[in-house]
This record gives sequence, C-alpha cells and structure tokens, in this order.
Amino acid sequence: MAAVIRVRKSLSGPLGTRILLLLGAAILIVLVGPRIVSEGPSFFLQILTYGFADGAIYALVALGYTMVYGIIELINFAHGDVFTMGAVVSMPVMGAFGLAEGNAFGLSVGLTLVAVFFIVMFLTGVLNIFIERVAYRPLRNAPRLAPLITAVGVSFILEGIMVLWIGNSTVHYPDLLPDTRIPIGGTASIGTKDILVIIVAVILVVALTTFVNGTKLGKAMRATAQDREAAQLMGIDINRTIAATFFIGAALAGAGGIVFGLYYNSINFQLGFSPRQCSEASETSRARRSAASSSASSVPSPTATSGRSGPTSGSSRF
Amino acid sequence: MVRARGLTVLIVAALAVFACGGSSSGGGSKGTITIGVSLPLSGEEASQGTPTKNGVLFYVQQHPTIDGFTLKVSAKDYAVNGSPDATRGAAVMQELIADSTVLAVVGTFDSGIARASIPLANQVYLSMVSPANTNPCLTKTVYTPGVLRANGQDVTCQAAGLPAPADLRKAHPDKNNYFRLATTDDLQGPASSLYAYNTLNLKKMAVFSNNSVYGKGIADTFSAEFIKLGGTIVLRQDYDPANTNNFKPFLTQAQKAGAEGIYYGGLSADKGCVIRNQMAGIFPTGAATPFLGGDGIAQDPACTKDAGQNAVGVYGTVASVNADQVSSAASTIAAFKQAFPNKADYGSYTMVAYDCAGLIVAAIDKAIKANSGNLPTRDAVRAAIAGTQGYSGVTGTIGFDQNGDNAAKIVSLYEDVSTDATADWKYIKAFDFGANPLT
Repeated sequence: MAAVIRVRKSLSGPLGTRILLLLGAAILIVLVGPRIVSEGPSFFLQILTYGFADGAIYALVALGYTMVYGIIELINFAHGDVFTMGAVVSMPVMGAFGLAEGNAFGLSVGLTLVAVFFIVMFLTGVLNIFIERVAYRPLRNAPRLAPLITAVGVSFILEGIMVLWIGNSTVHYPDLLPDTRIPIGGTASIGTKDILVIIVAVILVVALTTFVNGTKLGKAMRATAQDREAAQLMGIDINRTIAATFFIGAALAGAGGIVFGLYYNSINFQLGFSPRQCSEASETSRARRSAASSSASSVPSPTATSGRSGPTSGSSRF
Repeated sequence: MVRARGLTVLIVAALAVFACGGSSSGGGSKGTITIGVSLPLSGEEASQGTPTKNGVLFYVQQHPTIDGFTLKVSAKDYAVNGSPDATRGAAVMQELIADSTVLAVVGTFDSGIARASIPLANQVYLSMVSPANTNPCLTKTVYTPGVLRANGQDVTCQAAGLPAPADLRKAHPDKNNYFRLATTDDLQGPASSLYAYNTLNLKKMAVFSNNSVYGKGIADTFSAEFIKLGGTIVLRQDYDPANTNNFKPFLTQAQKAGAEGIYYGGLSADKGCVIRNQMAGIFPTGAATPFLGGDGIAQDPACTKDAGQNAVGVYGTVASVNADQVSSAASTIAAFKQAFPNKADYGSYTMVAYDCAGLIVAAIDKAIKANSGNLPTRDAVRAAIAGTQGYSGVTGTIGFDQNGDNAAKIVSLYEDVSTDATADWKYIKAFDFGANPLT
C-alpha cells in the first residue's frame, strides 16, 4: 500500500510527467511502428499531411478556448459554436461578394477571400463580445458553476439559431479553392487545400503570439490572467481586456470556421460539438483533479456538464 | 324519464330510416366508401408525398363509383413543422379509423410512420397499402437474411433495434393488415454488387457505412454478394458521421489496397457524397472510379452538390419500380399528365400509388360482391387485399405473400451523369429479385 502511494506521489511530480511522456511515446512507437514499416513510409507521409491539416483547424479552435480559460478560468462551451457560426456566417458574406462555386481561382478570388476572412472574423468577434457582456460578465464573481452552466446555455442558443438558419442536416459549403496535388516524395502528395489550411493557421498563430507578447494590450491580458485584482490595482481596465480576449479568441474561431468550410466543403450546425466534447472531458478531469487535491474545493460536480446527446437528424424513412 | 328515453329512441330510429332512404334515392348510390391517404404533404417530403397522393386521386377520378357506392379520398398529412412526425402519423391513423367509411388506407411513405400506424390499424382490421416503405422489419422477422451476409447468419429485427412484425400486429397477429408495393432494403446491396461486378467490371471494392442500422445493413449485403460473385472487399470502414470530416486517410488506405470503386451504405446527410468529393486527388475522378450507394443517396440533389466536381460516376439504387420505364404504364401516365398538368404533380411514386388504389378498389369490389352487394366490413376488405394475386397494375403484376410483401421485388439503379444538382439522374436498369431470387 505504501509503495503504491509512493509511486503515485512520484508520478504526480515533474519527473512523473517526463516518465509518463516517455511511456506514451514508447507505446505510440510500438503501435504505429509496424504499420509504418508494413504500409511504407510514403503512406505514412500521406496520412501525416492530412493529420497536419486537421490539426491546424483544431489549433485555431483551441487557441480561443485556452485564451479565455487562461484569463477568466471559464471553459467557454459556446466557443465551438462560435467557430461553427464563423462557417455559417461566411456563406452569405461570400455570396454578397459574388464568390460562388465554379469561379476560376485567381488573384481577385484570393483577395476577396481575404476580405471575407476579415469581415467574418470581425463579426464572430463582436458576437463573442456580446456573449461575454450579456452572459458571463454579470456572473464574473458568482460561484464557478453558474458561468459554466450559462456557457452550456449559450451554446444551445447558438446551435438553435443555426438550426433555424441552415436546418439540421449537412449543408454544402462553396468549393472555391483548387485542389492541385503536389508530390512530396514516393507516392505521397500534398493538396493546395492542405497547404492553405496549414499556412492560415501558422499566420494566425504567429500573429497572435506577436500580439500577446509585443503589445500593451497583450501585456494587459497576461497580467490579468496572472492576477486579476493586482492587474486592476495597476490601472488595467479589466473589462476591456477581457472583452478583447473574447474578441480575439472568437476571431480565430471564425477564421477556423471558414478554413473548415473551404477544406471540407460540408458544414452542419453541430460542428462545434466535438471540440466541445473534448473541452468538457478536459474540464471534467481537471475538476476531478482539483477536487482530489483540495478537500475544501469549491469546484462544481463534473456530472453537471457531462452526457448530452445532440438532436438527431435524418429521415425516419430509412 | 322512461317515456322521454323511448321518444328519443323513436326519433333517432326515424331519422336513421329517413337518412338511409334519402341517400339511396339520390342517383342510385348505396353510400360512400372512402380510401384514406396517410402521407407527408407538407415540408421537406411534400415534393414526394403530394405526387403520391395525386396517384390515388387520379384513380378515383377515373373510377368514381364501385358497385353502386361512391368512392371518395380522405388525404391526411403527417408532417409537423416540415418533417414527418410519428405522433402525428398515429393521430392521422386514429382520424381515419374514426371515419367508418374508410375501408383501406394508402400509406405511409416513411417506414417510421408505418411503425406507429400499423398497430392502431391492426386493432380494427384496417388495411394499409404502402407505395414506398422499404424497411424489412415492417413485414419480415429478419432485418438482413443470412443468405445475403458473408457469415450466413441472420440479423434479426431485434438485433437491428427494430420491433418485429408480430410486435406491430399484437391485437390480431393472425390478421395481417399491412401490405406494400416497394421491395425491401436488403435487396439494394445485391443489386449494386451485380452491377459493379458484372457490368462495371470492378473486382476490388472498398465499403464505407455511416454506422447506422440501415447503412450497415446495405453495406453488409453488398459485400456478401460481391464476394459471392468473386470480388474482394479490400477495406470496410463504419465511421461516426457526427465526428468524421476527413475521409482522406481511409481513402488513401483503400486506394493503396487496390480498390477500384467505393460502395457507401448511408445517407447523403451523413456526408456520404462528401466521401465522393474527397476521392478526387486520391482516385481517378468521374466515371473512372464508380461510387455506389442505396436510396440514401440516389437521386438526391444534396448528394450531387456535396460530390461537387466529382459527381459523375455516382450510382444509387431505389427499392421500387420506375414507372416511366414500364411500357404498360405509358398511356396512364399520359392521361395523368393531362389531368394534372403541373410538373410537380407527378413523381416517382405517383403510378405506384395509382396501383395501390387500384388493388384496394378491386379488393373492395370482391368484398362487396361476397357480401351480396352490401357494404363490406374492414376485415372482409383486408382478407380480399391479402388474397391479391396476379393483379395487373400499370407498374406490373402485383401479388402479396403471407407477410404482405409484393411478389415482384424490383430494385432500380440510377446514375448521376451531371455535376448540376438540378439535373435528373439517369435510369440505368431494374433488377427483379422476385423473378430471379438470390440463392
């Protein structure tokens, strides 16, 4: 028994983290290694490009999540739906600019697309500021459970709006980008769409890093994240800083939504649901961990946020 | 009190006699017989439901009386807020049951609504004749028969999560009241196998499904028949439609394993034709790499849209006859189009519904004659419909087996020949599994 406790203790330290990481890497190699050998390296390379493109979209969503979490310790469950909203809103915006499927891709389409990106990022940013003002700010000093449940509620509201807007089944998203494939070794190739997704993600991540590390507002954000009250005493406008965080997070999510649409050409109102499930899982395990570490924890029961099945779509004919 | 009640009885009796006398003197009609119609007449399925209803209306227009009775149609809509609704479907059936002149019902269009309606109609022996239901468990205890599966084992309705036919006919298990003209989903897969192997000359296929009962069912039957014919299934992938967006890894794997085409079991709403779109860049595009599926994608504009530039070369089966391809239907279709001139009045199931009405009226006629010219009971009509054999309808010869299934088991195959979503899919051919059963 004492040995078990000792092992547990050592695993919870920084050394334990390193051991677990190494163990994970070893398991991964054992699992994936034979597959790479049997299928050949170019197959692996091919799958890797798809993984990078998928990962880039997840990165755009995850940044907004972590920014908001870092600054007010709230898992913004509505964030995934703001991401979906980005994809949904961008369709009429594209229509207004005359972008339609079948347009030959060229400089004008490319530049218009950049304009669409900025407009949609602005719109989702404003939406998130509005959500923060109406739903989260009044609850900033409430028990943690209150804003958490409110976030779930906001998520439902956004999903409801999108069901009314685009219906409950998948919707075709205009296919505007050429998908020329460029060989990258062996039989593997990378499509222009994959490249675009990765480039957009990298640009936005670099821009965000520069912003957070190099500007006054970025510094205010970091200060607020570290200690809200101290930051306020130093003269930082907390409300403005938090609003800016929500704006930037949502702008990234909006861009992610467009990238998702352009890459997969198919969207539905529940795109944000699977990222949210991930965050719910992490929030649940985080809550468990902190509940275990301190007996006087005020962390709410994780069951409050788990287990929700989305509305089912599809015809009963089949 | 007693006298007052006696008076009431007298008045009622007098009224009843007067009412009967009145109706028989008017044009020699012995009364009204109503054919009920339970279909989706609003919302997303109205474009199919309304033309189906028109088939019944047209038959009754052509045959306004039967043995001295006036024929009438009572059409009811079971869509709520644009979607078929099982609760509303049950309510519709209750309304039709409450109308004592209704002797049989044409419907339903959706298997889920049939499931809610059959038990109610069974209580009062009211017959339902569906032009379009394809779910096997409405008539058979087996969802996918073992003969159509690779391991030879049946998938029962219970295993598929559906009530068995007996569960739907609890009130009178020995009196089946449900019949259909469309055939069943389990034959869609084999039709695609035959076409893929024999005509498209594909020997290696990858099979995807949306992991639903329907999707896995047709994917299983496709695979089994394809293997039986001599082909190989190089990859089988049942994906989670809610959380899968990137199919390229699976497709790359399929391509590497030598797949010459893809079979998909599922709906277009579950990203089926997104798979087709993502095949570009991994497989040769268009007709060079066929993509086959069931009625979840067939003739669906959403599928063409999702498939985008890669829409050509998508094939889909429908478990029903295509009346436009049956020469005996031509004159009736022409007459119909004269009476209902709008393009939207006519649909895939108009002529099938016309035949539903026709065989119902033929059965009522038989029942009236057996009842020496008087109004028959619902049960007598039900027995007459159950005994239908060799009825020559405009879409073909119709006869029911003891389950209520049509003896002709026709699956039609269509091909998407254009990237334009508004264009019609091209009819390729029909497979008659009634005449050529699978062994």
